[in-house]
Amino acid sequence: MLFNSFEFVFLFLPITIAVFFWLARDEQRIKRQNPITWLVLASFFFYGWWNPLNLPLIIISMLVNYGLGYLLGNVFERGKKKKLIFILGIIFNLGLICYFKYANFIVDNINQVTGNDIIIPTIVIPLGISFYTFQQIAYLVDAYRGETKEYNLQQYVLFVLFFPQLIAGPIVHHKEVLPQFENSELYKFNKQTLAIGLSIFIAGLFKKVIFADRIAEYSNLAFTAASQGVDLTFSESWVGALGYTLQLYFDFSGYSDMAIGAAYMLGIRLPLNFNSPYKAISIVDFWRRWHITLSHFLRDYLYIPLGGSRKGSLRRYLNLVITMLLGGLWHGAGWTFVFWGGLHGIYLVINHLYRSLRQALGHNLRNDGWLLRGLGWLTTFLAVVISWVFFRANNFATAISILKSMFGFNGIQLAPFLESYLGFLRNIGVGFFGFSVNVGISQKYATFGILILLFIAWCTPNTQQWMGKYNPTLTEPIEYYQSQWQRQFWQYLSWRPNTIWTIIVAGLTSLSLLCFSRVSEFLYFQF
Amino acid sequence: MNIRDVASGFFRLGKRQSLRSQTIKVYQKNKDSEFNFGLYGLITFLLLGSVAGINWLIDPLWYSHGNILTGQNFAFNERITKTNLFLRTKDKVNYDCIIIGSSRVTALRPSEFKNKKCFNYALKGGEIPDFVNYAKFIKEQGVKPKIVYIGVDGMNFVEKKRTEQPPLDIKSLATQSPLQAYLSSDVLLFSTMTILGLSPDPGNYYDKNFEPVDFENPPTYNPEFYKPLETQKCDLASVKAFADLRQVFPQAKFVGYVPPISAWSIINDTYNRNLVDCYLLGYHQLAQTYDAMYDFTAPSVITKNPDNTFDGSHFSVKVNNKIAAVLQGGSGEDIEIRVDQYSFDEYRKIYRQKLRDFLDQNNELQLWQASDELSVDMVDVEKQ
Repeated sequence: MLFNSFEFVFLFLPITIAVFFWLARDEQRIKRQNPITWLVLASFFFYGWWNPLNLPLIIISMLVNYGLGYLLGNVFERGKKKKLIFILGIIFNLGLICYFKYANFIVDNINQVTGNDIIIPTIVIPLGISFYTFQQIAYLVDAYRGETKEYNLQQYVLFVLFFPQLIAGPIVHHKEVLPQFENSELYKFNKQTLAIGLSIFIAGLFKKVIFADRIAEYSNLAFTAASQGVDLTFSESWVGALGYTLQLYFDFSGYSDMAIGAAYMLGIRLPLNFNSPYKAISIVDFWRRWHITLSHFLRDYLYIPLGGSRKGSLRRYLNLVITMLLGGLWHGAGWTFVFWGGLHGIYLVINHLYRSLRQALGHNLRNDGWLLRGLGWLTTFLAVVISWVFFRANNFATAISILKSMFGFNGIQLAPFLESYLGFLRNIGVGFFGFSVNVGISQKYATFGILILLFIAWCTPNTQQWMGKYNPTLTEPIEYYQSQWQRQFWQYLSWRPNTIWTIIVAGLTSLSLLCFSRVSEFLYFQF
Repeated sequence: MNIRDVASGFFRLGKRQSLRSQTIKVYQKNKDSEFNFGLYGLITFLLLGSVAGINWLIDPLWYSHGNILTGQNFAFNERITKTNLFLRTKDKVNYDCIIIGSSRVTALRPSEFKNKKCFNYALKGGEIPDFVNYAKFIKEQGVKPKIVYIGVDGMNFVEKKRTEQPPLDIKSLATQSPLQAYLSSDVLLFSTMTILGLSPDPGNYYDKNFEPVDFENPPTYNPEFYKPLETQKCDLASVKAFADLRQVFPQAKFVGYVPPISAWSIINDTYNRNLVDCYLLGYHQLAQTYDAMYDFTAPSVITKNPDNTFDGSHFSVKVNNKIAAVLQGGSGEDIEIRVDQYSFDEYRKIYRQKLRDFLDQNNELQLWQASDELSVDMVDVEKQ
């Protein structure tokens, strides 16, 4: 079930919350864990709604991991058997994800290299497999280290299956969520908690359906045309790249907000997943702000076990690149994803080298002035945009074609409506035929849409900051480089439980619901 | 949040006050206020209810009843609206006649086809891949037409760089639920445009029975001869695709027709671009497969009268009523050429004579290309 669907908003979510708190009114029921049972059942329903055939796999995965976790945490103290069970657990999880997500990719590559024609049926990737597998790997590692508590099966299932985070994260650690269900305060209905959760959920929904889905129309047009061999103009390629950059941002952060909001309506706090990543002034900073829970997972369960920075600089950089390559592959079974990850690995190595050099020269990086920070921000943003082109493109040829247009290899053509303001640029070879009928991008809507969304991403606080002191995530968003007056200004505009915000949230709710289904006029040029 | 507090706080920056003390003050002030769920529900309900109400009255997607406010239904997206209409009416009407074609065919009124229950599934921008998809969809829905009328445009027979389209899932076009039909900002936009009379099609609209009706004052067509556009190569691959449509409804009678184009447009866009022979070859080859094939593009009393069209390409409903009569075997006013009754040479000769007469009547004989030799710049199939 999608968060941005009528059935979720009008039926599933209200019913789930209402029944949860109805069951929680009776202490006996709480002791019998009836509210938790209800959440488990609701989560099963949520997951199986779209395709019930996904259910057997996740059930098997949960049962096996819970069993192995139990053995690791409660039966074996240490020794070879424990290690063997742990290795089996890792193989089981990686095996599942490899088969369902990467089997076709692996066979295609073998065929290409060997010239064979091995055919396997197309395997449908089960919903959310990357997320729930990572969560369970983390659980097994912790169980192996003796860091897990004795959760019962129902609690464990809820940890994996809890519907707000199940399909697209955030990647949740058992230590972060499960203890919350032991707090008796959780079962007391609180209007303010509901209001906060609702406001965050609606903010996320608004980001997704108004910002992400609208700008996606333009980026899709550009990338589709490029994949069909159409040479994009300079403007079209930038609309495609920036449009996708913004689509991904608002889509993912919107989804994370919806997850955080939906969980908070039930009184559960999830970890922060996005913290205004496009305000980052370096790639290191970017990865502290973008998909934070994935970064933490990769750091804790891949980078550090590989040796982290403990084995010298060269190993550190190698570990970084390996971690990012595998992080890229986690996003999708394709070489463009691997390349995207590798590119970020190289960005990180360059960033660390730069920092080391400056530290060796005696610079204090925290005292950088606005000019250096601004240059860092611009460089980081451009590097990220370039990497997203590879992330989005179907293949390298499409990505290279778009990047060539972006960097003027096909000439520089701006939008025609800019000619009256920038006509003098003709002297240096700039043209004003920036949008072609073939691609079909609406120049004014696309240009203004991108400018507005860039302003929002760069200059406004994120949802958690809007929530001010009511921030419902486990970690607080930190704004590193904000002046006193900016902080004061946004402080005054932050969310509060009052009438004005009631009206604003009602307006955002209505607008979002009205944008669930898109119906566009059929445009035709030929007839 | 209080606007006065915001403004005064913001502009009082000179007087330094610790952020913490300010924050505490604001929170204390709002201590008693709370998020009003009743108000939230009321506003949301009123906003959504108003939108749903307007959309239900106008029903621009033709989901249940069409526009019951003004009775005028505009063609915003015929792929969606006609699919909704078809699915809603197919069992009640038991269609035994289907009309397929591009926007030039949309103005044919089904009610003009006597003793038949026709559904006009013509679409703006419709091309042969669309026709095949829609014909298969109609068949899947259990409709078995006895007769199929197909509008054939010459543009299908010229070389064109066609970007590959993803396969069309026609079922997904149909509006899935009342929530989708009425609780949508895009639909609200269409409703508003309908109320304001802003039709995307300036020539006609659909009445309460979903039949096309001419607007009282359509745009005026100003005929003129102009310098031709670049020539294109002839590609007759689509002839087979049109012929293969018969296999979708093997029991049905197939009647093809080439919708009219103003005589000036034929000279400018076809004759002067050396495409006449290409088109005629396409129509004539197709005529060998269909039960009947009519060509309305040769200069005639209809196509020589600028009042019959608003753009030279789309003709009034009044003209389309005459076309409907001819397609049913009625005698017209010499507005058509019955392609299947002539050899290609005869057809070509009649057609060329009509072109020449038209140029002569307009003192434009200097445009006449005297050579009688067949001239077709065909695409190189092997290179494709």
